[in-house]
Parts: sequence; structure tokens; C-alpha cells
Amino acid sequence: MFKRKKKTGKKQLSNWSLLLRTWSGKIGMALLIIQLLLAIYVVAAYGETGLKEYTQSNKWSYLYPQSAPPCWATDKAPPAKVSLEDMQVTGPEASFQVADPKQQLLIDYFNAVYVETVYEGSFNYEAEEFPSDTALALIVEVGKNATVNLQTTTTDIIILEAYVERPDGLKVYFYDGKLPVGESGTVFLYGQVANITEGGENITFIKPYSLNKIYQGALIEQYFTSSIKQLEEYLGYPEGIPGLQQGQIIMATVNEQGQVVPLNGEYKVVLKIGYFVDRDLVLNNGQFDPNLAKQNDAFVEPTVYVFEVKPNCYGFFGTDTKSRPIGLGLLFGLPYAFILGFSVTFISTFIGAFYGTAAGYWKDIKGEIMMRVVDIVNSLPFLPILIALSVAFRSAITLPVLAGLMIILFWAGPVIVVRSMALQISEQIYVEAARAVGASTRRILFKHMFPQIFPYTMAIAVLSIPGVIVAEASLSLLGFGDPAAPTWGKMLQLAYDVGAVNAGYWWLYLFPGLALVIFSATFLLLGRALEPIVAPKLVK
Amino acid sequence: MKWVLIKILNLIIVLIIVTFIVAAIFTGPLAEREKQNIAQTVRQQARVLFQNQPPVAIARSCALRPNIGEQGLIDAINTSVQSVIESGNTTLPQQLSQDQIAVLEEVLQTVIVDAVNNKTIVTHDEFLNYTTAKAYAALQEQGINVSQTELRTFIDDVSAKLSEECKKKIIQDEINLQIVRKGLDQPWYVLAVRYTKTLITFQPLYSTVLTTQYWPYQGDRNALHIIMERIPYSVLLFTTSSILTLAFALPLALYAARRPGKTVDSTITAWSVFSVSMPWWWLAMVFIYLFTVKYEIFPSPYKPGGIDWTSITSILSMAALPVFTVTILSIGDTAYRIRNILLDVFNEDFVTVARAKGLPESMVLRKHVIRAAAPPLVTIVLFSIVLSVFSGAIITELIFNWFGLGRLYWDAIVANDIPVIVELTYITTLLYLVIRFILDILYTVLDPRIRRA
Repeated sequence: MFKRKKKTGKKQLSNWSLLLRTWSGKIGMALLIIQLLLAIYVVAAYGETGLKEYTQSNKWSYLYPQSAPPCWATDKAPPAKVSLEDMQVTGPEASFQVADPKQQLLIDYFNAVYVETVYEGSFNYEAEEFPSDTALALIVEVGKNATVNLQTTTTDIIILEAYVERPDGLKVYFYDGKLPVGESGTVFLYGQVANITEGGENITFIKPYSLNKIYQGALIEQYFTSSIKQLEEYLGYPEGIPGLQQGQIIMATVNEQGQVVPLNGEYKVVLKIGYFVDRDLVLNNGQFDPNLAKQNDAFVEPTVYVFEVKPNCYGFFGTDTKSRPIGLGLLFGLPYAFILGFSVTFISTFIGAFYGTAAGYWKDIKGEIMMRVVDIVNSLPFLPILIALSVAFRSAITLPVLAGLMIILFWAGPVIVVRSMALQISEQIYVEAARAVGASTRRILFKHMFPQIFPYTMAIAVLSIPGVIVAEASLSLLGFGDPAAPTWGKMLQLAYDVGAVNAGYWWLYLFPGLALVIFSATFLLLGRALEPIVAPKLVK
Repeated sequence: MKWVLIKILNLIIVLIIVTFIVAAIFTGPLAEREKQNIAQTVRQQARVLFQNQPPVAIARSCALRPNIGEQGLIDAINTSVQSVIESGNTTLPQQLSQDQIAVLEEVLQTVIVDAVNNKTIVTHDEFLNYTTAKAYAALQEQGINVSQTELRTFIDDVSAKLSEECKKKIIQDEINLQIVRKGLDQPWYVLAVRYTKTLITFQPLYSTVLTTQYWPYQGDRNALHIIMERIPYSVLLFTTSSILTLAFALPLALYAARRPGKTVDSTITAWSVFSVSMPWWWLAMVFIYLFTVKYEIFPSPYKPGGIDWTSITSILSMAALPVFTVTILSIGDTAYRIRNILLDVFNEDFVTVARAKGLPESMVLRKHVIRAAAPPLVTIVLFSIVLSVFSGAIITELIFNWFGLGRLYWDAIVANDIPVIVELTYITTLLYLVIRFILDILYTVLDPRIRRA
């Protein structure tokens, strides 16, 4: 017994060296090791919750630009960001003279004073390419007593100007007018402050909203749209500039050749807030006193003012329409591909191998019936049946269910080959001897026949991994993927759903597809290298 | 001929089993759809039938139905009197006290039932005259004084409401009756057997959402027609690309098999690894981007305003890119399979003998190698193409927005149109099994060795 074990061990060793002798074996092995290490690293570094965050967390849009192509594929447009903390502040200054006679009435007859503060920041833009988007967050805090206590007047009481002054002196207004009268507390002109829990920690994100697709019903909508309209007319495109969206037009100009190009130079981001307020609430010896204003709840202050020029690219792989980095998705899909591919193929091959062995051992009607069943399962067109099953289980689809469905259809694949092997083996003398000694059927099947057959079926298993992965991707595309698992199929589905092909977002589907091809090819190469080793009769 | 019979029997058994399983899984939605259909036709018939019928006639037919009967009629009268009183449109009940209203209800009930049972009353006027007179007399007897005209309008309102109630009852009763008559209330296994029969005998299943576009007419809901309409498009796409594939793969494989291990041979091997290991529809996406968006070589399958699938020029221009893609994808694997078969034959003793005899290589190829390799070549290659069509090429169709079975699958899944999905599964399984069967026969006919065994 001892001797035999040693012998098989030696045989295995020579198999491994044989495997590495062919070029397909070499490449396949190298790819497998690299991917396996990557998968282990990903699981160890992120854990299951970390992986699932890819599909379930909403933090991505706060962290990365949306639908940004890979940086190697585009001329890079640098990102820029101006926020309140970096701005120069002038004021607040109190004055008793204003240009508008109607507003002057407030000061003259209602014991009011006009307080004005100006915030100003700037950034430089030097690039040949347009940014993918610009974004804005503007939130203002208005104290309860910040307006003169006067309901009779219809005059503007809080006046707010927010704009970008371009290098050519043109101003693009986000807001230019009064705040709604009677508004107090936090006024969200645009953008959002979000709290996100990540790893138990509460993180506050300031989320500037896109200016490309302006949020419907936002306070700045009217002012900004008409301001962009004016700019378009000035540039000679009253119908809109083709290929550019509103947020990008902020930086557009027409060069000598008549082409629309980004305007380079220094951009100023300005916010001017002025308001009329009861003198007694804010003045201390005729001078504006910020502490007194705070104390009396008579202040108007911006809490958030961010203008952001979004980069037009991200990393080596880009980001998708939900702002998730594609590269991260490729990594996260790897462990899932391994788990799904291995579990489905090895379980179904194991079932098939054992079934085939038994069918080969029983040469009577029992074996015949078993083979009829296999014939039926093998003659099914697997994708249509899989789709029908997925429709039936639509609401309950998770990765294990998907794996189960595939096992139901795949287990019969290796049975015919296995059975023909088992037929040969069952004629061998040692099986006959075992039967003669009185060994039970179970013992003969498990101890004598199955171990002989099992190694051969592994080549079959390895060769069928690509089919499983491709099937998962196909089902995902049709909407039958596990909603929580970040598989490559789900990434491709997203690409199809958002119409990435037509929109020109090629990075959305190119990379997941390539990852899939590399993964599948690994096992095809290995399988083809294994074939001659485990089944020498197949090659001559 | 015995083996042919056995194979046909096998095919039928497999088909029945698969159909039964699919039918069993989807019994619920299918029965639901049929019930909807019944309800729809009954409502349509009722609309025609009840048109211009006086309320008394409707109430009479209501009372005559065994499942509703006089008791059902009385219920309907009570509810309609109640709702007329509650609606407050008539002045009569406002003059009466609670007790008097109860009396009024009772009187109306008996009077209307009498009128319905009295076969001489036909028109609405007759009915009103009869009931008003009787009710007036009965109310007088109870000591309740009402004006006759007000009573008449009140009864008019009640009868209008009553006819609505009766219509509802009759329709519901008819629907229930038909559901029982068609056996839709049977347990699932009985229904599953029925739907298996429906599918196998090509009886129509009606879709819930999808309709035909062109054939036999626009808007047909017969799932079979919806599928038949699209089959020619799928067949066109895949036969064209299969023929092209064979036309390119055969010479390539011949060349590779004669020089194994050389450039062409390893290219084919790598190509086959590449094309087998990826979803075809993914390359379709890449190709669409490359050839219609980036470089406008082919017309875009996502033309705004849709594509006219009846004009031949439009179909052909749309077919170019899918055919190109599928051909590129299947050449690699097909050539690899042919090469393997040829290599096996090249290593046979009779080829060595032929070469040893000094036959020219072209003669060896034509007379010995191809002859011997033909049966497996035809069947294995055709079978691999068929297999690929049924296991992924249908999604390629979807990506190309091609008016075939693949996109129908997608449409049906998106609309959750279960009858169409069931019918599709049946038809694809049937096609697949029949093609397999034909290839099986072909193989046996081509290869005398197998026929003898």
C-alpha cells in the first residue's frame, strides 16, 4: 500500500513538470498565480463588506469624477478647486449709502444699515482640453433677525451675487438677486452636505453638484441657465455649443481659427453678500461688530462655497457612470470570479464524475436509465433554459442561487467520458477481485474506481470554468445577476444599460471584458495543457 | 431504420420533459394570463350584448343565471337603493324619516322583483309605470305620502344603478363560469400537463405585453406569431455567418494541419482560445464602438427613429456588422476543431501508406484525408456552430439591436412577459433538438463505419 502511494506521488510530480513544458501551460500557470495572489490580496485587504461596498455604498460620487475616461487616453485637463477657506474676505462693512433709491429708503426711514461682504478666490486653468464637468456647492446661513423687521416693503433685503469671472472679463453668474424674503436658517442654493459612515467612522462630505446637468428646481437654475445662454450668444452659438455641456461652457471661448477651445488663464470665483439689517442689532459705536451680529442672530454668512473643475480623466481605467473607479471594480470582481467558477465547475464535475462511475459500474437497466437522464440534460440548450429558470427565480437571485442553477445544467457534461472510462476500469482484474472477495458496491465505487477516474475529470473541470464565467456575465447582462456582488458581468450590464457604446464610454466595457477574457483564457490554456497529461490517448 | 425511430422517440421524450418542466414552473402566470384573456373577451361581449337593453331586461337575465338567482337580484337591488340614497341626488329620501326609508327599501325590493318576474314588462317606460304605481299604492297603505313624480325619478335612478350592478354580477359570474369550464381552477400539475399539450401542439399562448410588428399584422398577441416573425431574421444572420465561417475556416485549417506548430497553426490556436474565452456580445460592443462610432464604416444599429425591418436594403446594411463580428469570432474555434480532426486523419496509417505510395500531396489530401475526415468535420463543426448560436450568439443579437430571437428574449424579460418567455424556451429547445437530430442522422449517413455498427 505504502509503495503504491509513493508511486502515484512521483507520477504527479512528473505531471507538473509536463504541464510547465508547454507554452500554454506556462502562460496559464503564470496568469493563474498572479490572479490568485491578487484575489487573496483583495479579500484580505477589503473583506467581504469592503467588496460589497462597491455596489452598495453611495460614497463614490463624493470621491471620484463621473464617467471619467482613463488618463492615458485623453489629453489631461487638470482639476481645480476653490473653496471658502482659500478665499480672500473683504468686509463685512456697514454703509448708509446705496445706489438704489428704493433701498435707500430702508436705510433712511426704517433705521437699517447695509452690510456687505465679498469673498474672492481664484484658480488657474492651463489646458488644451475641456474639463469633464464643473461643480458648485453654495450654502448660506441666514440668522433669524438678519432682515429689518419690515413686512410692508417689497424691496430686496438679502442680495447675493455669486459668479465666476473669466480671464476675458466675462462673468458667469450662478446667482444674482435677492434671496427669497422670509428665508432663514440654512439656504441650500446648490450642492449638499452628506454624512457617510465608513468603517464605523462618520465622514462629512461636501458634495458639489454637477453644473453639466443642473439639478431641477435648484435656486440657481434660472440665473445660471440664462447666464450660460448669454455666454453662448456672445460666442456665436445661440443654439448651444455642440459637444459641450453647460458646466463646460463656463470655460469656453472661440479662437482665431473659429474653434471652440477652453479659455486659459486666471479665473476668479466671487461671492458677494449684502443685507439690510436693524442698526441696533449689528452696530457697535457705528462700526459693524460680527460678535454682536452673531449674538443677535442677525448675520448672513456662507457656510459652504466650493467651485470645482472636475478632471476629465481618472487613473488608468477611468470611472463609471456611478463615479466608481473601474480599476477597483476589476480587482473586486476577481475573487467573485474565482469563487463562482471554482464552485460551479468543481461541484458539477464531482457530481458528474461520481454519477458517470456509477453508471459505468452498473451495466444493467439501472445504468441504462442513468444514461438516459444524462442524455436529456445534455441535450438541453443551456442558455435558454438558464434564462427561463432565472426568470422563475428572478426575485431571489444571489450568487449561490446562480451557482445552483448552473450546477443543475452543467453536472451532466463530463458523465459520458467518465462512464466510458469506468466501463474499462470495471473490467480490470482488481475490480473483479474486489468483487470476488465480497467488497460492497459502495466500497468498489469509492475505493477502487472513483480515485482512478477523478484526476482525469479535473482537466474537464478546468476547461469548463470559462463557460461558467461567461454564462454569469451573460445572465448579468440580462439583469439576472446578484445585485450585491460586484462581478465583471454587472459592470458590463451597467455599460449596456447606460448605452455606453453609443455614448462613447468605451472604458466602461472594454476593461471588464478584457479581465473576463484574461481570466477565462487562463483556464483554457491550463486545460489545454492538462489534456495530454491526464488523457494521453487523446493526443498522438 | 430502427435507430432513427429510437432517436425520434428520444427527441420527443426530451422535448416533452423539458416542456413540462417549463410549463410547471410558469403555471401560475400562464393561468393568470388566460384568466385575463377570458375577462377581456367577456367584457367585450357584455358591452355588445347589453347595449340599448332596458334595465329590467338586464335584471331579468341576472335573475335567470343559476349562480346569481333571485337572491342575487335582491342583493343588487338593496345595494343600488342604498347607493342612490347615499349619493343624495334625489329629493325623495330627504323628506322621509329613517323608519320610512326602511319601509321604502322593502317596498321597492318586492316591487322590482315582481316587475322582473312579470314577463309582460319589456320597455323601460312600462317598468317605471308598473313599479311606480305599485310602490305608490304600497306606500299609501303604510301611511307614507310621497309625490308620484318624485317616486318615479327615484325608481329611475335606482334602476340605472341596478342595471350597472347586474351587469357587474353577470360579467363576474360569466368569467367564473368560463374559468371553471376551461379548467383554470385545476391544481398546478393538471395545468402543467395542459400547457405542455398547448405548447407541443402549437396552440396559441397570448402575450401580456409584447405584440407582433409586421407579420401577420401589427399588434397580434399570439406568442407563436411573435416568435415566428423574428425567426427569419435570426436564421438570416446565423446562416450567413456560418457559411462565411466555413468558407474561411476550412482553407485555414487545411493549411494549419499540414504545417502543425507553425505560425498559422499557433495563430489559430490562440485565436480559438481568445474567442472561446470571452462573451461574444462583449466583442460586439467593442466592434460597434470601433466601426460605427469611432470610424463610421458600418451603419449604427442604434439609429434614432428605429430601423425599417421590412426593407431588404435596410436589413442587409444592418446585417453587415453582426455577420462580420460573428464570423470573426467563430472562425478561430471552427478552424481549430477542423484542424484537430484533420490532424487525427493525417496520423492514420492509410495516409502514411498513400504517401509512401508516392501519391502527390494534393491527391493524398483530396482522396484520403478529406474523404475520411468529412463525417466528423461536417457534424462536429456544424454542431459547434449551432451550440454557439444557442449559447451566447442570441445575446450578441441583442447588442446589435437585431430584430431576432435574442432581442425578443430581452424584450420579454424586460416586460416580464411570461407567455412569450415560455414559448421562446419551447421553440428554441425544439429547434435545438431538431438540428441536433438532423446532424446526428447526417453523421450516420455520411460515415459508413457507424452505420454498420
